Amino acid sequence: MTLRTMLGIGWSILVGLAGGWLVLMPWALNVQGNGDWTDLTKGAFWTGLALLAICAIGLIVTIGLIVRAVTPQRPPRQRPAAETNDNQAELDRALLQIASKLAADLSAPANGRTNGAVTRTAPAPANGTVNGQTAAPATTNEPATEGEGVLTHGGAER
Amino acid sequence: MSEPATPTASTASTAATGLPGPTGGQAEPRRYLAMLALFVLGLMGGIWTVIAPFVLNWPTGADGSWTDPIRDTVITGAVLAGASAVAIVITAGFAARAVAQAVAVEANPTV
Repeated sequence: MTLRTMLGIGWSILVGLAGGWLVLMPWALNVQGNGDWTDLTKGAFWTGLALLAICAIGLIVTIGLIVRAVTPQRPPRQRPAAETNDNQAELDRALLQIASKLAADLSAPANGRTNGAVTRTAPAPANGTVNGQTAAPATTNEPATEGEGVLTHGGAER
Repeated sequence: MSEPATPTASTASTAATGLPGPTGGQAEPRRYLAMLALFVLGLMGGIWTVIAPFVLNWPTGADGSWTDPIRDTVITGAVLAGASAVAIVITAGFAARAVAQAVAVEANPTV
């Protein structure tokens, strides 16, 4: 128990004793008869009652401070606004890149894909002739097989 | 990645009070302010208790001397006001020290 809590509790007890004494004083000193309350009785009684209320407030505040000091407190969850905005901007940029690449893939059907088939251009021989004949680049249409020539969202072949 | 622990205003207040510190550096002075307000209230109550017999014209003796209720009420109020004044001085000292520690930690958090 710290000096602060001892001070608070001790002071509250002192105020409570003073208030209790003021409440009881007219009867303890026999200045209040059986009739109506005198001005002295009324003043002492209400003053004592107010001091008792201050005593109760003091005890509540002091006990509250003790409880708050003893209770383990979690650190507040604080996310800086700048960090949140940066994360949102980064997410927006990534989504924009994905959308633009998807749009580019969909808007370019001749880029290696026709009606679900992959159009391939055979590489020309190095000397430009095949069996003595001039070879033109041959194109073949063959269905796309998995794992071959399939474009991904990023536009790269798997 | 773990960073080395550095003392904060919270740990400084823990060292000052011997109890787990609050989460914020300004929480400790605020607690002292609550107690200061309470003690000021007690001081005002004590002062009122001292002057109440005269303000409310409580009956005095035949020669104007104090009766027992007046004497007891004045003594009670004086004790209460004195205790509250002492408590205010002590709490103000603790609050000033807590504020100084918080300011020092915030100015140089690595020390």
